[in-house]
Amino acid sequence: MLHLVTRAFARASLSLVLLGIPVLASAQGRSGTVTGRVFDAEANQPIPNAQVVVAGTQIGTMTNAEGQYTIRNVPQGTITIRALRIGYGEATRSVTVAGEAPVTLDIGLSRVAVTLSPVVATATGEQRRLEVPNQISQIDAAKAIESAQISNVSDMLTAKAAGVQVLPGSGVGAASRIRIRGIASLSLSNDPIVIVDGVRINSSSQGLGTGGAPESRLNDINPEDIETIDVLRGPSASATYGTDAATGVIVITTKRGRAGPARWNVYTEQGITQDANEYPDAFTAWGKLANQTNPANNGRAADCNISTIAAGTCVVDSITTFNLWDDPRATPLKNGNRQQYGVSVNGGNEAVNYFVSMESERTTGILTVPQFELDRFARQGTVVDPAWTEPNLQRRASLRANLDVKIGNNFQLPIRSFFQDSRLRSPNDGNNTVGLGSHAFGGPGTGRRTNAAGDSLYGYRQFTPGDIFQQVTHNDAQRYIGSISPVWTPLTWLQARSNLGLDYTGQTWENYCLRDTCPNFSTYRLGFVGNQRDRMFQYTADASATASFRPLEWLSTRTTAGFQFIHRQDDWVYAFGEELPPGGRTLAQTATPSIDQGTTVSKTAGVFVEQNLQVFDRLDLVASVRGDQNSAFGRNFGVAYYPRLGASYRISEEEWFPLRDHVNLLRVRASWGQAGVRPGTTSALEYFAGNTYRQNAAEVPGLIYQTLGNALLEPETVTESEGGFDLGLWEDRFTATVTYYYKKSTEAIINAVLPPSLGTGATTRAANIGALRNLGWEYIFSARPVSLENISWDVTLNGSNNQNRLLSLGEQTATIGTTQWDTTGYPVRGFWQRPYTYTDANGDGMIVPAEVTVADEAVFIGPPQPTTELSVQNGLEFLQGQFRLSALVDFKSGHHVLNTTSRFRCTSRVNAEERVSRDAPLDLQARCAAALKPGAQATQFGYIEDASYTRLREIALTWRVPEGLTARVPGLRNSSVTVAGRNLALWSDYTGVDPETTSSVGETQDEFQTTPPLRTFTVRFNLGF
Amino acid sequence: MHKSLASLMRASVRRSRAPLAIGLAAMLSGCDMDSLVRANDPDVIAPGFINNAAGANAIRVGTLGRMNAATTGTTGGDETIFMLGGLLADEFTAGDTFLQRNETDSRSLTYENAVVNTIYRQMHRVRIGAVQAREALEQYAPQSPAWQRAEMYLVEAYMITLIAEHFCNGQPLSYIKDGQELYGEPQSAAELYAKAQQLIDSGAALVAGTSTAANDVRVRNSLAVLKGRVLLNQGDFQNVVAATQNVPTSFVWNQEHSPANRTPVVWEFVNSQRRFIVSDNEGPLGLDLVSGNDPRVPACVAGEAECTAAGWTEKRPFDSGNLAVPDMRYQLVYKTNSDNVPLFSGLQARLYEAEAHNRNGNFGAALTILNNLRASAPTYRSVPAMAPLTDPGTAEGRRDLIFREKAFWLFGTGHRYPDMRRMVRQYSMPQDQVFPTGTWQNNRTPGYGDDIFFLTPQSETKNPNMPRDPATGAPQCLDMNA
Repeated sequence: MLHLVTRAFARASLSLVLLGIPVLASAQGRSGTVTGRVFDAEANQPIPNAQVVVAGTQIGTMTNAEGQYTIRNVPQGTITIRALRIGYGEATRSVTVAGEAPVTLDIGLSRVAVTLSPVVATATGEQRRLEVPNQISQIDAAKAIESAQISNVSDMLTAKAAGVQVLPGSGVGAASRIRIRGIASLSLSNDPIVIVDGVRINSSSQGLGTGGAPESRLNDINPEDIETIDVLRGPSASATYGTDAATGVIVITTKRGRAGPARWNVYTEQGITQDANEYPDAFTAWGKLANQTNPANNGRAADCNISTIAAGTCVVDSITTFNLWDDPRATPLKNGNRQQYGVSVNGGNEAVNYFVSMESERTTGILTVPQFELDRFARQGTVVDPAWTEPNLQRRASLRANLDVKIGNNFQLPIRSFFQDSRLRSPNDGNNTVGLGSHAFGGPGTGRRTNAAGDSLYGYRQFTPGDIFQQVTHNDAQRYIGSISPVWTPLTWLQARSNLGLDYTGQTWENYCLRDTCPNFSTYRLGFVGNQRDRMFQYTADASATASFRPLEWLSTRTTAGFQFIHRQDDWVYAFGEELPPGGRTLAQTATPSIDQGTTVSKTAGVFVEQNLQVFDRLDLVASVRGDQNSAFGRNFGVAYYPRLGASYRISEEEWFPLRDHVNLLRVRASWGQAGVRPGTTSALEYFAGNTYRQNAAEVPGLIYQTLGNALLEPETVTESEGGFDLGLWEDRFTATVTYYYKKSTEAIINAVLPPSLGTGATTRAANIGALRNLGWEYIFSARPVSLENISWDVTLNGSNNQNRLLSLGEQTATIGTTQWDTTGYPVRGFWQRPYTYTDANGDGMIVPAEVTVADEAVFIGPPQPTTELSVQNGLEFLQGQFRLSALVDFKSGHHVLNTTSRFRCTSRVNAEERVSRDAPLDLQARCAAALKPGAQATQFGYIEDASYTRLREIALTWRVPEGLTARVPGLRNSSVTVAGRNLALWSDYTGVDPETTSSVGETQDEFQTTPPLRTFTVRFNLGF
Repeated sequence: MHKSLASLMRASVRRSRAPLAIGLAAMLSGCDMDSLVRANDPDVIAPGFINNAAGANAIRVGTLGRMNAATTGTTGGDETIFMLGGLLADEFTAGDTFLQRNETDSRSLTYENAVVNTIYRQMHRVRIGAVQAREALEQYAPQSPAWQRAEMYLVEAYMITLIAEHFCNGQPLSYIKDGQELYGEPQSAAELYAKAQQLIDSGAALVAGTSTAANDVRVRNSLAVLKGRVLLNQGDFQNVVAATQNVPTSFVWNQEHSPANRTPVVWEFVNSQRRFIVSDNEGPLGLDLVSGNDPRVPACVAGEAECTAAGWTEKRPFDSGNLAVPDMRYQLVYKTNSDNVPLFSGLQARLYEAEAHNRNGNFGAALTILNNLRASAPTYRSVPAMAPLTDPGTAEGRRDLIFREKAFWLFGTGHRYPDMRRMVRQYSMPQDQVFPTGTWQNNRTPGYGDDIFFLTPQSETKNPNMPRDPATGAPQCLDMNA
């Protein structure tokens, strides 16, 4: 039924466009020109890059460096000119164009506290923020860079937009997890899609096999090139982006040139990365065996623990502790450094504007080979490879050239071109068999034990960093993103746009151990090489036409229709070989090379139509529908339709509105929409895969059955409703934006577990049988409480909460993992475990498993994702804006993390205080004892912890060098110095190292023997010529 | 110049208005977008592409590859049913931190055990592959050699036997027919063994005769060896000798390995990865596999000359975490990453016969077999002549001797655990006199549990025909008997 309605709407809207063409064409008359200047009303300074548009038409332009503009082809008569610029309140002026002689109109704009662009980027082109019935978050990149230490796009998004949760990665180059309005999909990706200058880009994360967090292609985008980031949170805003847009859309607009002479900007950033965390001490209870089954063992030296001490089978002599992280000879930690150099130039004339930038960056991580290992290498005469001592290194160099070509008065040709060379070396720092964390968190409470060769382990469990970091993993990627986005305005009421773009990444991932290097595990020391070559293409081709007209004095309409085609293809070849000769490093030199290959293809074709109506210039209505077909849909499924409806009403513009002296804006808005999440690229297919069998000393190729497929598979449909209001008081000195959303995923794809007895290669089959929902509030309050000549203070509070519930698993029973369950009525991946009670029954001050009673039934503990987040950004400007001090405090709560590192140190490493020392608090001893109960009786309840935290996320001080000083340097236009820090302080009751530690960007935060997020300090110099 | 271009464009939009309208209307009416989004993924081999003789044979080969991965070989990530059975029995001890392995070693299994789940799934994959291959051979390659279909009967029967031997009573056999699921009902072990015999007989009929072609002989002998094994499981000792006697002692069907494909699982997990340790007096009644110095199971501990000579010098198991885990004990039966592992052999046939003779009251015949093997081992085992055994004189002693001989001859080939389970089921031995018990590892808490078979994995509850425990929701076994 819905399909019929949406289809009918699409056709009706199209008819409206087509029928309107001749009517409006005949309405076209003579045209004129409007010219003038846009300036800061307070400082009387020109405002460059302001948008100046003729209201109700597609006609407009940008101001040049001197704030000047000229709009040609303006319809004659009385028209409304609107000027918009980020950081300023919009202004509208009426002007009468009577003849061909230019009409001059100067427009002054007032500064506002909230530095948001008055226009937002949407699938159907840029729209005035106040006309969009959604709350679209926007990040001003230049402002973000000035207010914080920003290394990548993820840093820019962290704690900046209500409802957008960013879990930072651990280590240099590590990916972050970005979730918008909770988990919308149970089995598919919850990553938002990313559009850069109208082109869909690859923003995927990929593991490098190091046990640490993966690398993200999103972070290839250079923050310095970005003008704004718009975040469309869900289907009520993103429906016209169609399939894949249900989890949100991040729209990045890069900088463009401004008319005028060349303006150069040169900058450098120098800084350090460091790890300022407290790591746990390792404990060892030295003792002797007693009361052994075999009396001959009595008196033998042994490591005791609480269980054996309590049982009387081990008698403690002494307990020692050791913290290798703090020991100057043993610690694998160091300060890394960050160096960034960049230059950009922009300028142009009326016909051609350009923005060209170049940047080079080098950042090193916080891990290295400790001194005792360097001493060992020196003793052994081993030449130390710099890759060992600098196992985490990122080097990037990028070049961007953005051209905006204007051909005639009605044709614009923006051309965007970006190239980056990226080289990332990642350390084996996580839960990896031979990873650092496995050995650094797991060692004894002494630094004096040695390995079989007699070399000191210096507190490490089995392998030491010198050997661990001999395994080198690096990923070298070359990426090109290019697009042309012609905009043709043949008639004042008609504009046609297109985006043709390519995102290509070629990368080489390599992981190797040279012969006789690396930990003595398996065949590592024989040497091996793994090498993967990827080619990742993403093509975007879209076109749309927008017709705008004003059929009645009180009614404006805007109709857009278009199509989009997106093709993503990843091809990879992986080769692996073992047994290298001395000095060898290539696959061809290995004794046993093998090869693997794979391809992933996804194609989406969609058509859309959107109808906007504006009534009395204050009531905006929008209706749209998009129809999509995708290569991943089941063969028996047709087209997916995604409708959208919305309304925005600026009450404060009503003449009867009573508080106009105080309230400059009161807007209520509501919207409803649907978008999709496409299935896995081969989930719908029944197919076989290749396999081999060794026969007569040769490999023979064969086939194995993989999966049943699902011919009926369709995209997940996510339906979202949101409503709220925007309030501006005293010329936006105080603003409030409050939004409520309700997002429900139906036909949610569940990777239904297939019973093993069915014998399929795949363990699951995708089926549209589930449902889940997210709801919550988002609120943004901003104020400029103090705004004096010498000092001003602005504060912005971003907050949100989210309640996630799994509504249905269809006919599937709950998916019960060891600690996380997907069960109806509870949050996705909720933590469940059987609780326990304990008593020190014999009063010996020790809790052993027998003194712990575990309940029969598991209970729900909490969700894995924060349910509440709040960030407070403060900015203080003083000495007439010469200095700006900004700070961001980030609070998250309501979520839980399985502290696997601590659990492992209890149950397996036997080096946790709660496992070894009777001095440990009884509650900690009890959680350990509960985890040690036999088989199915064991519970990890005590290690699933509240991960709430408050973090001083960013602080920055900027000195804008006064003009009097800059004038002394010939050609210098402006300059500034910024000192900034990231991740500076943490307050949390979490007992692990850091509640944000993760080695995964999936729905489950994987805190397991992984190093936490880094602290960074930088100083940045900007010079403008 | 600009003006003329603009005029040109304005004119062109007038001219193109009709096609533009038609184009947009066509798109919105849902025209053939299917062809636009058609994707060609070379990884995907659709069933339609392989409905021919070559495809049928490729499915057969793929099934053999999967069987290798379920039994004797590994790519390094997953152990096999041979390893897991040996862990529950007294062949191997868990050396690392994986809960799933520790659960198995300490006989405290859970339904959620992911390793058991993986291996269970793998055996069913082999079984389904064998059915698919056989059906494809019959349909698309009716002229193919009969031994190929017989081989698939053998593989299917073998997997059903292993499932019945290792898992609790009440295992379902599901199937896929024309892309649709056919969920199986739980079947008793007796029903599974009967099913296996039926399949073995079907396969044997295809290779009956006197053909000396290598594949005919290999499949025929393997079917005979498996028939003897299933007869033992069925307690039909009378018919074992008749089933296996024609299999020469020298016969062996080896599974081949290489680092480029799959390495021998015992070598990989014991010697290379040090995640498993060869057991020695485990539990403490287990076999003295190391301290017994038996040439059939050459083994050593780090520091001993044999170990040093073989390059196995690490004293501690990998990731052992604490000293409660024993030191490494290496096996030297499978010395390299390319060693063959026998799957079916004449040696197995003789040992089955020995047990059957003893159960049939003819220990003399059993002893003769055992001593013949000790005097002259099959060439592929490279075992020097060993001193002959003498009759222990008691029923218990004879029983123990036979099972001990089997355990040493067939180390690491998936025989020890099923034999131990049969000791409880068919020889009425108390489980604590068969399976490891008491203190686990070096006083490691919590000690051994009392499991003697693997539980049906939790994931099998997705089979609508699988009964569930009303209290726990876990898959329900028909009974909890050995």
